Amino acid sequence: MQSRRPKIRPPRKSLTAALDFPSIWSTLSQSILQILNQNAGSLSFEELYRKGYNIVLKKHGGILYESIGGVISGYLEGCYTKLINVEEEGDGQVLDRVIQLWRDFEISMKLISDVFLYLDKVYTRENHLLLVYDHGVTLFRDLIIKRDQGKIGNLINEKILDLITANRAKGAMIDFFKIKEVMMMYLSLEETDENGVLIGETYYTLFFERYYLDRSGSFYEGLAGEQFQLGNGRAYLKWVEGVLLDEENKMSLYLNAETCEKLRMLMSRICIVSKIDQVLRFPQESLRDWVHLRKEEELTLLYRLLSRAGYFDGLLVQIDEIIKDEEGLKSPSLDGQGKEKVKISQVSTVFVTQVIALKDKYDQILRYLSTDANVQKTIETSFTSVLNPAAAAAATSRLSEFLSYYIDEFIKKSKDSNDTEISAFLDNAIVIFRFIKDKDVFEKFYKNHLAKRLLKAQSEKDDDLERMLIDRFRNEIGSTFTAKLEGMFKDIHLSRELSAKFNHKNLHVSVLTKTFWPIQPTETSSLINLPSVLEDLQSQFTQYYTNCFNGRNIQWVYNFGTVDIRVKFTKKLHELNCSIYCGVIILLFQEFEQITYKELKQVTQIPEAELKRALLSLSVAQRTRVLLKSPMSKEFQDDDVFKFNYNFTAPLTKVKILTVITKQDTDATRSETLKETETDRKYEVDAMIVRVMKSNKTLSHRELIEEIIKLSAKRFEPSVGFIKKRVEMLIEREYLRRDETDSKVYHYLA
Amino acid sequence: MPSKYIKLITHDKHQFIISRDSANVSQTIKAMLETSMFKESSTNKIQLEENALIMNKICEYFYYNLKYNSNNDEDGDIPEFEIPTEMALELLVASDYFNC
Repeated sequence: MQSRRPKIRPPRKSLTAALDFPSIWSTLSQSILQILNQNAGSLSFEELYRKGYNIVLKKHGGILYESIGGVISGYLEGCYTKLINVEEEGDGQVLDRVIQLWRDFEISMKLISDVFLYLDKVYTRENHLLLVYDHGVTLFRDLIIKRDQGKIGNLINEKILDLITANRAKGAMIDFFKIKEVMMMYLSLEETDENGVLIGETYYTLFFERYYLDRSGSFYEGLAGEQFQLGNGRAYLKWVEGVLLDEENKMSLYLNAETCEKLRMLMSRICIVSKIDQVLRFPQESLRDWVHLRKEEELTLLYRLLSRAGYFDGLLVQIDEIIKDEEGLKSPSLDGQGKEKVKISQVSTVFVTQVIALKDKYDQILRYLSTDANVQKTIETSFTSVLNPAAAAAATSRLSEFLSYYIDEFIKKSKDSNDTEISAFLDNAIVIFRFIKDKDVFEKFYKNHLAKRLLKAQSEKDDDLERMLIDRFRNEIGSTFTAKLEGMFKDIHLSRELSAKFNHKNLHVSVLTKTFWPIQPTETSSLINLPSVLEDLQSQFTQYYTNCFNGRNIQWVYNFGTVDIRVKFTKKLHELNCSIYCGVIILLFQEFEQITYKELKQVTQIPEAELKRALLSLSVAQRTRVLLKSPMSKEFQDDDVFKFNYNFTAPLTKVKILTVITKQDTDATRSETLKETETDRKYEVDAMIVRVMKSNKTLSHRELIEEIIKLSAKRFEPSVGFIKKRVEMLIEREYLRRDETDSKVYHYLA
Repeated sequence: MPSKYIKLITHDKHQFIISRDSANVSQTIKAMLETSMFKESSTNKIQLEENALIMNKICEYFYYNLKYNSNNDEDGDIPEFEIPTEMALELLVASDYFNC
């Protein structure tokens, strides 16, 4: 069977018939005008659509597109003329009229665009033209808003800003929704480039926003200036916050998010950034008062405003200044006023307490400032720099000493302290410790004090607090700092065991590792002649010790030892507790009736300074005059004579003979300690340089200096000059050499 | 209040009453009905230039499209839409006009 090919019916006749464009267009243009005049009710969408469709099908899209534009242009020109005429007659309603015109036009364009959907679909897109709707909108832009150098646009902008200004200045009631409607219109009016392509900017972004920000800026500039003139910091901040909040509430009613942000920035700049530094320095109600009076409200407000502006530099500078002016952070003078003696231990406690109080104050202020990390850093740096004045300054920092004395004072009296006091003490000590730049200096002072305390301590129990403190130090900067201190504890612990094993009830020996302790045997100590009683004990122990620990060498240091001597005086039996030197002198009177100073020196071989000190305690100090000195004076001459005072009396059986410490002595110890630190630093820096160079082989001068400063930061701050000197020393000793060509480069010599 | 059914009137005076949902398959008709202010949106009547024969097929397609397009995530058994060969060209033109 043969298949029959079906006949395909051709489409309707109308599609093939010729097109009478002028007659179709005359209907269409009439209809477009009807639509533009809000009068489309009688029109058939289908009919118009079909007409447009047929025209496009017959390839007349181009002429149709242009003709539509032409009709719309004509309509808009008429509107423009009407607007201008009415306005020139003093109508004053241009804002409302334009809004109404735009409302209607927008709806009409939507209809027109629907009717010519097929044109857009087939012709417009293919020819990269604006869609009918967009085309209409650009015509509105050019023929209404921007016509005659933007006459209408400028008029509207001005009216809007007049309204807004009236509202800002006097709180006048205005219709924000009306303004919002204009903004929406402006945002719809997209800008095109010379080829008629949309560029993603609108009349709003390119024209209105700039004008708006200009006028808002100059308005607030003026207002902020007036408030500034009042010269009251608190009032100014309050005003700024009020104005910002007010504007914040209003701006979102009519502005788009981007402009809101720009306005916020603008206002922050005008009201906060450009003025706040001066405001904070106002003579009344400003930062200094708020800090000193700990004003929470003002400080939190200030912080809110500054975070809004993202500007903190000025605040940081001024906080630094205020801290640097705190008198309480300046090292107190030790000279004392008048004749009153100043005890460093007291001064230290007062000073440390004072610094802690100030730290608390600024911690509180920091909390008011939202615990801002930069503020915190500034406070810490400022404290550190006030508490550690540059070495060149007249008063070198005594912070290390003060802290060490503070600790010493507290621990000595800690028997009655409760847990709260102890934990406060530990916290305080660490706070101050953090502020110390030259931790090595502190280490020296602290070690001296610790050594004395440990040697005096009776039992393990006394060490608890010491250990807690050292734990805190270790947590703070690591175990290298505390290693030697821990060694000291170990020595004391072992010594107690050893003394117990030696089992001589009258002798307690502390065996100290030389490198851990600040106490060093001197050459003279071996020359001192001990009374036979003591000498026997000493040699017994030495023998016992060398038996226990083969190969160890024991050297004796008397400075910190004490002896108890029972003496029968005329009136009563007393037990004298005194230093070994004093003991040596007292025991001499078993042999001598009287003795001269010169003889004392020869017989005992005690170094003169120590001898003088012992004699001061024994013969000059009022309460413990066990010896009679003639002539009676504080000076010692070779032929001064000493006799035993059998008539000595004291209220208690036990008498403690304190070793007199003169100011010269303390000063000498102090400068010695500082000198030691200096020497230690040389070693430390040398070691660091060698270590760094060994691992790097070759480094430039700058790199090396940076590295050393970084490494030593935890313990002290060496000056560049100091490091340079050490480098030169190391070059001399052939650990390093300079590069032949570049003298700024060092090489490590293996 | 938009009515549930609308009336399509052909060139040769036939009336097709179909559901609004099915008519909306055509983007063109949809625009005519939705764009208020024009005659069509108030009368729910659309005068067309197509004849009844072709319109019948178009309406059939509207329902076909509505049925299978809306629940296309069910089993893939969609019957083929039959197009009489002699109507092919006319339907092609119509689909362009109705935008469906």
